Amino acid sequence: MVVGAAGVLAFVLVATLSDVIAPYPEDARGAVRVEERLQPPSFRHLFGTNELGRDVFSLVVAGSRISLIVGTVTAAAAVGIGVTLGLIAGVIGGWLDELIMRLTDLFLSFPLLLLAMAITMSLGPSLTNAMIAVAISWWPSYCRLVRGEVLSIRERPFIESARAIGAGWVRLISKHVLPNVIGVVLVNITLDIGLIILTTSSLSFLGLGAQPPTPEWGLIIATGRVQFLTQWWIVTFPGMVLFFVVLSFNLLGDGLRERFDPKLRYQRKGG
Amino acid sequence: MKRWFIVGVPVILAAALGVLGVAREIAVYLYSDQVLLQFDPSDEYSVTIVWFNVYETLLRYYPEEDRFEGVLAKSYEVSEDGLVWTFHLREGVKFHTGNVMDAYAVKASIERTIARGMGASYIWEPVERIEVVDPLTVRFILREPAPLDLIVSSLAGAYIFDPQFSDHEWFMAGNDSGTGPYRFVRHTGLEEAVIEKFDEYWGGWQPGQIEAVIFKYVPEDNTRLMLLETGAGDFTNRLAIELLPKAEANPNLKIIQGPTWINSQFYLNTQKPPLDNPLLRKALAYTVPYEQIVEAAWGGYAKKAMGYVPYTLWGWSENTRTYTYNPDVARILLAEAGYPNGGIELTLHHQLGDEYERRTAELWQAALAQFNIKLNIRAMPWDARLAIAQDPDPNKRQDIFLMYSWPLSPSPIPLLQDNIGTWVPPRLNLSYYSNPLVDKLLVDANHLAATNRKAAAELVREIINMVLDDAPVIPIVDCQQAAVARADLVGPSWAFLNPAYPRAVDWYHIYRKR
Amino acid sequence: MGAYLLRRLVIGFFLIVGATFITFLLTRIIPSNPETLYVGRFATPEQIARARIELGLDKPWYIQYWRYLSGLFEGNWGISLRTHRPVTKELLERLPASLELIVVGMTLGFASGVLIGLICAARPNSFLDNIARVVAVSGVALPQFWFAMILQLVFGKVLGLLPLVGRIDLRIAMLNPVPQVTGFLMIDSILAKDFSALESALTHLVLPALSVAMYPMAMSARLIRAKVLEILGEDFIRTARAFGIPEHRVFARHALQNALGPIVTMGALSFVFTLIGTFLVESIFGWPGIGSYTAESILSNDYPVVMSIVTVVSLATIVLNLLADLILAWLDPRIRLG
Repeated sequence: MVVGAAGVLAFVLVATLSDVIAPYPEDARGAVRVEERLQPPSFRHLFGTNELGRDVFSLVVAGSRISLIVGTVTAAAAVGIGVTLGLIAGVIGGWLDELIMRLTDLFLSFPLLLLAMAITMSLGPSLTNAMIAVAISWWPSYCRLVRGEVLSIRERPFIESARAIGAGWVRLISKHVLPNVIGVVLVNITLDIGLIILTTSSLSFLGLGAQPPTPEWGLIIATGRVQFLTQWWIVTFPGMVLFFVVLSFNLLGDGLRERFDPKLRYQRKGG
Repeated sequence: MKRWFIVGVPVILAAALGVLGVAREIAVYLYSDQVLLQFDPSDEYSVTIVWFNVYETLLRYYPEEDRFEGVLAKSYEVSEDGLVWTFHLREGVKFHTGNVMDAYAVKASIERTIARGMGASYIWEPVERIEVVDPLTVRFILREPAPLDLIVSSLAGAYIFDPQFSDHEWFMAGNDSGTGPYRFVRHTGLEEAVIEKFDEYWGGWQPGQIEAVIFKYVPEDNTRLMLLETGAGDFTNRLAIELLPKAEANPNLKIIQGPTWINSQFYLNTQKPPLDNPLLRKALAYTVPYEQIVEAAWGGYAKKAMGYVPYTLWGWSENTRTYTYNPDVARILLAEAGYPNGGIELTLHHQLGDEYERRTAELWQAALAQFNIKLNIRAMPWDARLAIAQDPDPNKRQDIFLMYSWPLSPSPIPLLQDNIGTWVPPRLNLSYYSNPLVDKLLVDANHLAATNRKAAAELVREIINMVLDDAPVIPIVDCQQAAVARADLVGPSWAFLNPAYPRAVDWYHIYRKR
Repeated sequence: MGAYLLRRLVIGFFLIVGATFITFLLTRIIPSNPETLYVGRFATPEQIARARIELGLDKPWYIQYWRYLSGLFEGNWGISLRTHRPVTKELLERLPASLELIVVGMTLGFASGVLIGLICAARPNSFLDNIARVVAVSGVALPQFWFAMILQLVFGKVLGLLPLVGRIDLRIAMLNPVPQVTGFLMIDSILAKDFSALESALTHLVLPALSVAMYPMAMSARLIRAKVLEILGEDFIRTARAFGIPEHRVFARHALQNALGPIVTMGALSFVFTLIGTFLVESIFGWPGIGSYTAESILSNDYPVVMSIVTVVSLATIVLNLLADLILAWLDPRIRLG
């Protein structure tokens, strides 16, 4: 978990300081240097240059900022929608619950690609629209999660007694339900940010997300694909960085879960 | 049941082997796109690479020598007014079905194509009627003068097939009734097609000729190169420019380079501000970094375009006015147009997945940034961007459409009519340019082309210069083909590369050197 | 039980209808030009007009949708706009390739995942456990498309050990094709006793299967580890140990058995997703399966194909979900249905 935290921290740091770290920041904004195209990694260009002469290292560094924004904003959106709907479903119950559950079923059985395509094609391909598509397909899991938690808490005796006293739902939710739910949600968010970044990169790889010259990692890999067997650096480095970032988030999330999930606490003592 | 199985499997195996026995001379064409087969010769115009060898036309055009080859027609004459065309057919030509080709068959197959009205059938528009003079002579009577020799040489819609075997369902089941040196054998989905030699081809067969051809869809450039290197593949129509030096260095491979009639152009939306301002459009034409595009987007395998007619197609002329990359002139024109400091934002649509177009767009984007003009690039699938481009409301359409174009017949006139003619609703004229004078002159040029191609070419040049002044479409490059083949495959250059029949290889004229 | 089944089926039916309806809407509101896709780039206005009528696009949307639905039940799933061939035919042609890849890949993934998970659970928090956990987590974090390309680079180009693309050597496919019995190259080549074809098919399968296996491996490793540890912490295990039952029996009989349930559920759920989700792996390895076909069709808005695939996917998801739940209930009598 520590490793994970370190990785995430490094990522955030690089992302915020990207302009300072990148040796050729203008490359990330669209500058072109045709004479220097397709150069292998060297001291001047740590990760080499791409087919238009841009420094891949600068592109990757600038891409970290983009991925950070993408990951957090999309996750926030998915969580926002999911938690709200999950709370409504769990608390109010009845046919509304059934309806929301069926809705989550529907969205879960829907191929992400199709949804992303539809959204990006009717709104125009762009990173923002890809984020919307990912958020829309991600909320069901949070909805389910929250609903599950709410349902399990509902049955607990202290809730019954609180209601017997006459406590209102809003108070109940904010005082009792939410704190329990937040822990689980937080753990999942950490895990998911990494995966969300991965998914949006995949969409950009297909051309449905970020558009040139945005230095999004998936897009960089896509542009390097045609010649990657000879000019391997354009694909390898951004992918490696993407992998490590997602890995860091996952390790962090796993570690958090282990710490906070009561069921798993036993192994620390027993076994 | 069991007996059938025991007998069946060896039979299938034997059939497979018999069809493509190891001893036969086989060539493998590694295709960079899907082998999307349209089986009806009247309908299809997408997969010339296969049907070019299976079906034949009356004539074929070889631009390198500016000549017509009599394929199914040995010779032809045209009347002085360009309205009556008489073709003398070759004798003893057999269809793959066994029937003999004659004037009745020619008339019937062309009439079927016209009647079906699909695909490229509209190339026959000028034809009023077709007459059979005698079994080996067919006569076309036209409504208005038109270069019929060019029309019958089209890459689609002009195939002659056996009218007795021309049921659409029969074709769709995978059958062919052509006259070509090869017959269609089988195909697997979109990946593979196989043709093998037709023993009774009118041209006869020599030992050493290619006896069967396998077309294989191999999307990855690296794989195509590896297959060529090992000899598992014989020819590929395209290889990523970064890989070409490797192919060149290999003594077993050769690069076949040559012009194509495919050009890449920016179509500016003349109906939507700010691009409805011709001065602005002209200014933009001087901001395109043509040399950079040729080098970085096409790796040198493109030629800067001169006008709207591709290089080596008649109508191309050195005297066509050209735009060059000239930032100073661009700035002056921008100021004249009312944008001395730029400050414009434009949206460009290009083909999703097309590396060449993407790089072209990015290079222009970087160049425009110097003039404080922001270019937004959107990669979209053809279907979607065409729908937006054909939206009835001009303001909903894109500002700039990056597109390839190429002619169906070896003539620049229908090409120009498609691209800069008036079409309402829009079809392929995605700059929405409309100039009635240009339309009329193009029709005149077509009439001229029937009898005096040189004069027609002159007229075409004038038309292009006139339109270029308005700059609705900015020509960028004429694409060149860099095909790679095994060095032991020999044949005339036009067999490997003929711009009039893009990507099609004339396998009949190719031998493997022993 | 019967009532539960009925309820699930009815809900499932509505889900499928809902999914197709949404897909229908999506494919129509997207700016698209099915007529041009059908007729081709040089389509004239007359041809487009005729195509509109032929494709039924001139009818109002609810009639179009109704026609599609009724067609589904009759077995007519439409004609692909690009190839003009029946969609069912094209899907069936490509299904065995995907199935072969996924079955092999997922089996590999689950097998290795379970193994890793068990190792971790046997010695939690040890060095081995931590290493294995990182490996498992990597499986989830790995960008599949990138991993596939790296595998190609390393094993295909640098080491030259394994082929880059395709299911089988091109030469074998062209000169000596394995007669199609099941569509699974491994089985068919064994049936035909063609061992060079078998070898070729196997070597071509390695890299794509590896790419596909990563995610199931990671998921199952984590799941097994968590579940086994959770069960090991439960009371009845302590009782068993107190009774002196040897550790490995405790492990095998009780822990494993209870952990299997969730694995089954997970397997079922991920199967369908993997089917479509491996399209990236398929396109990079040139694997002619349903995944890459889906992606192409979606990207060119070949809507009959897209709608059929969505129908199949929702159907499969619902059926598999139901099966998984039923199996779970059968395995663990504590679970009540309904």
